[in-house]
Amino acid sequence: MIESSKILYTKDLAVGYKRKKSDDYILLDHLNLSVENGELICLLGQNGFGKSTLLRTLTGVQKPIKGDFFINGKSIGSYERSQLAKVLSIVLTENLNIGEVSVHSVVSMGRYPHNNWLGMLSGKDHMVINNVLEITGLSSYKEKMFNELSDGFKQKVMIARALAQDTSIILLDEPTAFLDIPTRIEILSMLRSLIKQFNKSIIFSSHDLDLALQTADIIWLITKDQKIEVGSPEDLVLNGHFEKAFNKKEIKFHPQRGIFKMNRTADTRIQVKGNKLDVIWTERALERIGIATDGNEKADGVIQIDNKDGKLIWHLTFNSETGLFYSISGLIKYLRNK
Amino acid sequence: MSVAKRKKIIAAFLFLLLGLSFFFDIVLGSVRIPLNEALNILTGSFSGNSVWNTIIIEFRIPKAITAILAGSALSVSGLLMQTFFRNPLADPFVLGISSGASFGVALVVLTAGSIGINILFLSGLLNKIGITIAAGIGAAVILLLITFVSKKVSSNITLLIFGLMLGYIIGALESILKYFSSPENLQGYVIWGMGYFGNVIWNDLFLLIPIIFTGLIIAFILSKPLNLLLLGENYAVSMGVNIKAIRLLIVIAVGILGGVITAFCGPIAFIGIAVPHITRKTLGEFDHKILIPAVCLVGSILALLCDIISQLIWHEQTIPINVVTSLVGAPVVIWIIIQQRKVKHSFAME
Repeated sequence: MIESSKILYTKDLAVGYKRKKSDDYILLDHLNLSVENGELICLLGQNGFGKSTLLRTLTGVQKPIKGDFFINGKSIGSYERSQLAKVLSIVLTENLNIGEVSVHSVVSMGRYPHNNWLGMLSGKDHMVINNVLEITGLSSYKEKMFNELSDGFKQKVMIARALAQDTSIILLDEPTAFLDIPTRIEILSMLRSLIKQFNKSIIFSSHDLDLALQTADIIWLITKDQKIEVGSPEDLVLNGHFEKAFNKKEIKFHPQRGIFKMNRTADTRIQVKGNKLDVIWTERALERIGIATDGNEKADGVIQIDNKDGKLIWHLTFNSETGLFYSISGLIKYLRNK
Repeated sequence: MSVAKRKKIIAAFLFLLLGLSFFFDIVLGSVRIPLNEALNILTGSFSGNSVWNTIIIEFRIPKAITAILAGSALSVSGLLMQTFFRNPLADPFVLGISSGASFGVALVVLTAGSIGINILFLSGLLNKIGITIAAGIGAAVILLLITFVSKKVSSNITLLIFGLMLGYIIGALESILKYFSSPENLQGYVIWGMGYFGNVIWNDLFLLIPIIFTGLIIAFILSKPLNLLLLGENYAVSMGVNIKAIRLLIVIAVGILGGVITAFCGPIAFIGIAVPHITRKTLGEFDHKILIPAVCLVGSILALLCDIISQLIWHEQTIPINVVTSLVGAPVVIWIIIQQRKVKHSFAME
């Protein structure tokens, strides 16, 4: 790999907390990570495993316990805060409230590292700000008061501000944590398109596996033994690292579907036949009440789904009894009582 | 009407109001001086009545200038603290900064004569310099303490309660000093504690004006980092703010502004908390490079108006300025608390 294409790389980095009286508390050790131009990286891991600590270290707020990391080939220790502000910007989880500030003003604060001591906006600053507002779809909202926006919009404004800061790296700490699912998807697809347009490198942390699998180029997966596995989401599914990192007693990663399922031992098995889509949703309902659907030969019962004039009918054969049902909820009610 | 135009009109109106209140603060008072005579004295042609000359030139003009300085200094330190602590209820008075300054003054005034070294401070300007230094140090020490605690506690309410408790502790220590001080010293201290702009003479102003201007200039230089601090410390640092240096400069500015005004005029309540809110709301502005001059203007007007009221409310008798600022300011604070849901939006309150 050519060194120069790396915007950021870590060298045997350890992150955690320095302690005065006892040994340092190390959360993640021996990290050799690298970030290239135009990569969307998701830092994924369970809460409490060091996601935020690693991000805080990478933003320079917290000092590394051991090792070092380099941005544009320069060690983090040799950066002044004002210099660092020109190469690295951040977006945080916290829901901000700021009085009497318009969207345009918040975004224009992103230009502060570049302008004079009073923060006066130059012609170039205005150009950058308008461009950023255009791209993030905030142009028609620029006169709006920041406080009157929804949480999702506020997060968009903070991302626009980071863009106006014009840095090669943007770090986002759980940018979608408090948002509803449609807004999460909107924010993440916005990040995707930013990568394409600006050739920036974006690192975001998340514990939302589902979305991370869909959006990230590279996943930094925090494992249970204080390491980080790196790879495309698909690689990490296939080599079993996801399962290892997230499996618990009550919960199991389902590699075929890329989701988590509650881990229940089923004592009943029912085979479902019929139209593919109907089968999938019927199986979901059965799994929810603890009935396995993957047995063919050993099945305790069979459900045949028929379509009569646009109406679905479920034929159940179970323990030598048979029944007809006209909805999944009716079917489930019956089976639950068995 | 465009926003910029609206702001210009408000600014023009405020300057007019400042001129008027400055004029009436000089013309009105417990000694009735006819309007045309007062105008004569102000324009340089002296009145036949030498007592009136003296009253206006030696007393009322320095008092009005002091009101302007105090109004500006207290409002700006209130603004700095509200932004820095991201707390709508922060001001020098609420967080105990004024108490710290008072205690510094109490140490000097109440122990005067009882400790050898204080003999030096007893006469004239030297006395005032001593009080000023003591008040400034007292204010800065409390502010450092509050800053330290603000790093440890995350809740703004906890910080406020800490400030209030600190005020009580200092008050108790003050009571001990009062208990053991001589009646003359005590009387002086109690009168000082009621707050009064009229203690300042021309000679003091030569000291007061440069000090206050230094504090105001430091505050103005900080306007860019202060704007960034509105987004919270983490964002501010990520945009290049050297937080340690800024924190130190804010402590110095508030120590100078709050401490020195307290030394000369006594602890003045509510101006520091009320003026930034009034200004932010009327201007709809967040940018400190505009807010700082604006709160100076509004603070000066409010201080002058309070001074006028303090002279007019009771026949031929001046009531303490603190009575007036409390009557005017306390309702503003109550209004802030009632509007808490909205005010909360001014800052990221937990």
